[in-house]
Amino acid sequence: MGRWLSFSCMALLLGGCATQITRIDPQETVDISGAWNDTDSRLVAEEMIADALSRPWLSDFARQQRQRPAVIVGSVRNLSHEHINVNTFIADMERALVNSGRVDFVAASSSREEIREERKDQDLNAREGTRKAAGQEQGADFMLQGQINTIVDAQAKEQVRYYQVDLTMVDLADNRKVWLGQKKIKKYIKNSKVRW
Amino acid sequence: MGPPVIHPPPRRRRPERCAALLLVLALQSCSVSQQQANDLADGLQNAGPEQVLGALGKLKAQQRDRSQRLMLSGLLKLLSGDFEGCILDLETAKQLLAGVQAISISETLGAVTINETLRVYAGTPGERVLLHEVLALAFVLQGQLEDARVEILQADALMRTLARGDALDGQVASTRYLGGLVFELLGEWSDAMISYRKAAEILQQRGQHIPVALQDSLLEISARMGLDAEHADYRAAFGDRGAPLAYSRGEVIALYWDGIVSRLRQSLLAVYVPELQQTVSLALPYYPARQANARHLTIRCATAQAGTQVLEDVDALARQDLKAREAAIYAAALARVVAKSQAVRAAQRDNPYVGILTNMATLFTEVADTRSWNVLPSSIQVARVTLAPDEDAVTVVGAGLPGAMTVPVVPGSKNVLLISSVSQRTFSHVF
Repeated sequence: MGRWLSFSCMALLLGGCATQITRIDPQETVDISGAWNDTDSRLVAEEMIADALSRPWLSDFARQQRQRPAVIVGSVRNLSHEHINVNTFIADMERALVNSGRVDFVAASSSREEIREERKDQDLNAREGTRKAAGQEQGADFMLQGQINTIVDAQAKEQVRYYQVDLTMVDLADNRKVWLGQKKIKKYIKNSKVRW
Repeated sequence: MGPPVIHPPPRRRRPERCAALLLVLALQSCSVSQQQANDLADGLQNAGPEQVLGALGKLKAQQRDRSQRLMLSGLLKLLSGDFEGCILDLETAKQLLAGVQAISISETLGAVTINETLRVYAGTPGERVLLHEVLALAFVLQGQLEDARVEILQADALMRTLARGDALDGQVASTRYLGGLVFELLGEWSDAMISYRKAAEILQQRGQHIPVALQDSLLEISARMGLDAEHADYRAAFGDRGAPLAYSRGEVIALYWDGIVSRLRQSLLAVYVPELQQTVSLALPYYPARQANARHLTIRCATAQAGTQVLEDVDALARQDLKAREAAIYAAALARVVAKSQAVRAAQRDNPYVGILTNMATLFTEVADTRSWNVLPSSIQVARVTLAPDEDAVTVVGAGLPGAMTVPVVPGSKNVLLISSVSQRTFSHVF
């Protein structure tokens, strides 16, 4: 009986484990499930924007127009197998673009509406010297669009996830594609067949 | 000096007795809580999802039942119109289920010594796929087609993992159909065609009738994509419906959830074995015989009408899943009988009273695992009706509803409706 009880109690006790929380550096890479994570988002955004900024479209524009190009980030479609928060990816790209100091950055359409509402409000309520006039917005010269695709190959407990991020910089004047960027990530995930 | 006082030796407390009692009490309270959660599903048809959801929230849940509770609450929230709550619960349940698919040593130990309810709820293959389908539907009803697309892709990956040769383990036709619909609404015709084709293949393999809505989609998209040979095959199989209709037409795509899936019951066998001088018990889960046949709805427009047809027999899918795991359940039950019998014999040798107590403990702890996603519909049905150019309402009638329902629609648009016989409400989104 003692043995049966020992086994039973052990089985009950081992069924659950206490929650453990540890604070970690946001830059630290932690892969838990193998899904797209903050590190993927940050690294892909930084690498692709670095690539975009090193290509001739930027210097060509600066030479012809004698100013920095204004860029707007359009839509990035998530066509992957995962619920990827595209907003964090877009924010990472915006940060990398703005911090480069080589392009001007204009607000996306959703933000612009809010800003226009604020200008309207200023027209009514702000002191004359501090009001911002309508119709003075800077138009973008280029739009960055993209999509995230995945191919998943799974068999039993093994899985290969292939992510492909495609970004395109389009000249808003004539719809020319001036830069095409691509970043690929491949992950091999092997789930344990046995757990404690 | 008086005679020496002889104290009797202190009674040796047997920790086993206390442990056995505590173990039995703990396990009984767990099984009672699981039983109460199961009973709630029975009242769903009469009480409605909101009331059952409230009652479910008051029940205490063990950590190992958390995924099941989230699946129950998520579905009830969908039927109550709380799509965001549904998505939150089902996404959490999905992550929990993904984390417990590996075989657990401690839980297996518990299953072969005490009972199967000590396992963390891992869902059946059919339930895991349907989880993606319900999530996808919640996203569709919120107008979030790209998130619905993600769920469909995940369901596809899962179904490919679960497929074993020609067997239909974990293959769900309604999930494939919904995938086709999502791709169609996104204008991704090639993927829509593949999904509809797979839905039809599953139904054909099962020997099930292909609903007219699916037949129409196969005919229309194969023509649209210029798949002439395949289109000719469908025309030969489904009949000549004339020229394919323009995609820009207004349409109602009605998904009807009829009834409630059967819930698992416990079959308990307890026999006194004179040779062993103990009562041996065995509890196994089973599905009772089906009581009701599928009921259908009719969607009436000004110029046309269509009856809903069964796309997925969820009840049959649940029974198929139980059948697939019967061998493992029986093996664990047999091991449990031997383990418990040995424990009682060891206790009897030690002390006959402890033997009786242990025998009682083994009887009380013998409980079948009757956990399931028992608020799913019994069947998932579909119908598609083309709207007249200015039509702004359709009428829905059927045995599962209290009376005729008038549902507003947007002319010239794709109106996706979810109608449930349980909530007797209609949810829709216009694309």
